[in-house]
Amino acid sequence: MKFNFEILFKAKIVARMVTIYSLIFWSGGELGSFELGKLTEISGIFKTQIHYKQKGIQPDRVFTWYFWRDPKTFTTKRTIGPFERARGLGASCEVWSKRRDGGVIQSRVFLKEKRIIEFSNDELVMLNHKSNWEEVACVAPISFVKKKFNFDGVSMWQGRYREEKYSSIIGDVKYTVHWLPDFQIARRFIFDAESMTVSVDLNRVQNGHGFQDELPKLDDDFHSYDFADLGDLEAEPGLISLIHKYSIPHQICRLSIEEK
Amino acid sequence: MKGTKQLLIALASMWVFELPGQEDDPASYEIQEAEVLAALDAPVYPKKARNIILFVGDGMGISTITAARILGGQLQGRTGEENVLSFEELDYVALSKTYNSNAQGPDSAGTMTAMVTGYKTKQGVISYSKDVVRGDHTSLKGYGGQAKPLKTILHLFEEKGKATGIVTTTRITHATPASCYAHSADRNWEDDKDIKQDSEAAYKAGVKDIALQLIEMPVGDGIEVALGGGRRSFLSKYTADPEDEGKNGERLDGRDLTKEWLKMDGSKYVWNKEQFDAIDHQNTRRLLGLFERSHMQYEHDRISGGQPTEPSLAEMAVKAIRILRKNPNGFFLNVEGGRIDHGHHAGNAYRALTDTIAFADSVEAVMNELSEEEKRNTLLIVTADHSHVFTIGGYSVRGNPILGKTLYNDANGNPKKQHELDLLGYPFTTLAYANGGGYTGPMVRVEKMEVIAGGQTYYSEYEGPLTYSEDDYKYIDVARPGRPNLNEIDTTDPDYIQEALIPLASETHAGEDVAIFAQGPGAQLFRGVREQNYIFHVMKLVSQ
Repeated sequence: MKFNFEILFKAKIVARMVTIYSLIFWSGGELGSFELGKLTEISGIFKTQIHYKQKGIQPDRVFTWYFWRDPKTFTTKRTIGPFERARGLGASCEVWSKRRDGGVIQSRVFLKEKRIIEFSNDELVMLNHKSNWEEVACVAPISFVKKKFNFDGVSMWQGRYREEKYSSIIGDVKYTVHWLPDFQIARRFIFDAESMTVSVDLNRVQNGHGFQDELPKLDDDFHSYDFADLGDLEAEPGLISLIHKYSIPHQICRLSIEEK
Repeated sequence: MKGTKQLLIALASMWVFELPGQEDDPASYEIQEAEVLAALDAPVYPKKARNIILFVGDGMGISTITAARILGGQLQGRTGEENVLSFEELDYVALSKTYNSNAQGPDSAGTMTAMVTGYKTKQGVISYSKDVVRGDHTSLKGYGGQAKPLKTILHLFEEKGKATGIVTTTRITHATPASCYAHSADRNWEDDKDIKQDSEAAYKAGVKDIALQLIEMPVGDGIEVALGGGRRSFLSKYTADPEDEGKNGERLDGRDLTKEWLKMDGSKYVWNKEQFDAIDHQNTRRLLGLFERSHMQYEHDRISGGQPTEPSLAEMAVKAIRILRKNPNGFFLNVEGGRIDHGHHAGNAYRALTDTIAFADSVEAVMNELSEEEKRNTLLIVTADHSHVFTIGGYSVRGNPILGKTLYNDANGNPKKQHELDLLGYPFTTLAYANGGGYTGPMVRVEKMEVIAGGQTYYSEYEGPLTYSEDDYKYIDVARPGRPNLNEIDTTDPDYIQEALIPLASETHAGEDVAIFAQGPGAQLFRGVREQNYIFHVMKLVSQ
């Protein structure tokens, strides 16, 4: 029997027993001179690849996801792939909203089911999803990277855009971040551990909100719930299973850095 | 809170405390003998109460009180067990039976309805009689049904020209505070969007949402103080939230209820701590404070990020009293420590307990705020709506960190050098849950999804709760390593999730009795084991 124990929202002790490719914590810290308030409106397509180094445990996985960023929100949409098809699920989406205190709110949107489950900043912290607005909106915690990582030089991406390269080894994980200053977003973010490599690569990016046909329309028909209230929503037991059903898609754009 | 965490870690590394000496041990023979003599002189109060303050720790079962008491003491550098939470010093104690009219395992809507109306009702129902069908407005009187709206203690006070208020760390439209001022066939009908999504028919029939009922309360001159979270139910869907960028209110009717509140005489509205602190109670007749779009922060998180952006429960309770006491006829105030419940649901004892300590601090702050004359004329009740499946286990030594791993005494009664081990050889924590997200047990149900890649068959990595429809999915049950070895894990970390026996995605309420602590006129009526709705009848009697 082959399986692993990756799962969101399990006990922290479980989370610590296994290598989880996405629940990698960064405790925040100084934001340096990066000017979060000037984030430009962009959209694009990322590809996340998960490669398991030990043969026969899991097949490699590839996820493609759209994103739309404005100064206040970062929306991602995971296209329907084999994972969703096998489960009869619809496409999934996340909307990250910025709080004035630098924290974030995460709304998990289940498009087919028309349900939204919202996680407050303190709940994200409690559940070991230590995210801040910069990590979310730039895909990598660039202030931290610029301050702590080795600078490996500059090249050009697509022959047009300046790309800064950074790397570091933290614990037993090698991190690589390629940064596009023009778009203020990570072009490449690689987590390379003993058991697996996870890479997030930008395929396309453009100024403004493109890909409008893909952009989820979250109208009033969507039922929204707070994660804190799920324990009291005994009339809607299926809500909690949604979180778990979509656990893999909802990890694909949450690569971050654990500061030991 | 970093300091708190460091202190806890330091406590965890000290495997024994210096026990209190005989002269200052509150459990000593002499002190307890003196306590008995003091208890012979029961306090004398007037027969009638001018004011009533009802404190409700949401989900604050007796094990929660005990663990919070110990944690509170340990945070002060003591062994902890001898500590006393503020409300434990009140004069009278009773037990409350919390079941709902249709549920052994209760929810907050039914339990709070019992406490503030005198009637037990169904789970999920806000202050309607038990012949209501949850979520069905046609079961309500006025819509073709028989279920009656129940008059609450807050309504009774308003009818008599007294002042009223609610203070909570949840949304002020959440079940517990809402039961004081609103009537709803479903606790989730907090705004008109909620109603429309849940029941188009109820929406079309014009059923009033809970937020609107707070603003348009038809009894007396309306509620004077409402402090908590839940801004979204008061703002229009076209109105941007002032704190959560990119988020709007939820109201479909386009109304901004905060502006409507301000139209009332002497009314003020605040949404952050700075504005709250600037409120002068002397020239404020009504105060609406909505400090979060949804629930307010856990106390741990409120004070972790430097300068708090929202007030504490204690600060809100004191401010409320300063406004309410200006009415010479008296006041009713409900203070809810609402996020104790949420910490437990998440399986996170740290936040549940630190919120319980904050709740106790609010009781202490109110006691300090009341004058001696006010204390004689104020019935103060501290209770819980229901309990949680939260346990304090093992035979740990005195002073063992309550959030830590168990440490036993040896055969000579001295602390061992090593943590106690279970039959697998692993240490275990004192605190645990009977169910919830902290399940680490020996079996997991895995969704059987075959993935064929490279000529090999794999199984899905999904594992989860048993809440899927069996018709839709196929499962296989597989063994897993079972309990984790906690040796290298800091179980006092604020974000640690305690282990749970039964795998549920959210930890549940528990059905055992909860405590009632009371002081002031009528407090002597709280003795024995009582039905939860008995609380209302005491409040009604002493306020007549």
